[in-house]
Amino acid sequence: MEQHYIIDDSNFDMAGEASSSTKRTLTKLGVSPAIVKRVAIAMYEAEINAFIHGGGGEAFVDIDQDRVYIVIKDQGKGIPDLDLAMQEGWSTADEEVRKMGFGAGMGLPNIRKNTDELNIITAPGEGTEVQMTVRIE
Amino acid sequence: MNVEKYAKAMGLTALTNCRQDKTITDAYIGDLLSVVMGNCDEGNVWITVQTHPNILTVADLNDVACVVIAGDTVVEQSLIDKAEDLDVCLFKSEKEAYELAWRTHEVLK
Repeated sequence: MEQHYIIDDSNFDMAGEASSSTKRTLTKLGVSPAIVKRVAIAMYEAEINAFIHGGGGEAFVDIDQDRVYIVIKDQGKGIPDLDLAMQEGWSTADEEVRKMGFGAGMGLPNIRKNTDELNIITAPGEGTEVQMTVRIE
Repeated sequence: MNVEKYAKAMGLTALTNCRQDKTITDAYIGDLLSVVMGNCDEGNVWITVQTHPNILTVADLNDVACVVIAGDTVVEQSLIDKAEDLDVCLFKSEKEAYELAWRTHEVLK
């Protein structure tokens, strides 16, 4: 089953809608709550990053019996130093975003923790593509 | 204990009409959404002073039992409307997060 979502950065109140929809789909399919939670956390964090740093983008979700594969893609400024960005607590979010409760520097670490495979393709000025796989045991 | 009994015992102000039969498992306090995402569990009472509408997505994704806005924080109508749409139980209290947590511990004993 494949799903596609547009991540529209013009309405921040809608951030997380793609993740919510994917969570509902997985729950309806009978996937265990523990796996649904892992997918929800990883996808939400990547979706929020696309909102905050990427100027919006797209989400692709492919669900089969063995795994959930998610790609979140943006055309933003990219991540200059991925190793640094993967460290807990590191964030480049501005004050406005922090006031809304984001920018804790836990986004990418949360993604790493909750995925079985993670591949991030990024370069300064060339956007970011986060490819995530969560296995369904 | 379910949400209805908990809210009554705590003297919380209900901001939404919602299903109050969810069982409360525990409580979590947090205002940084990524930290809450990673640590708050299903059935938790989530105590926060954060009132941006994104808290509702986090509450929904975590299947929390209810959200309690602490410290008499001002809550916009847009937050209440979205909570109704998502069927997230939203309450507020004039008590600060620490006191709410302490009382929650007592009530859930």
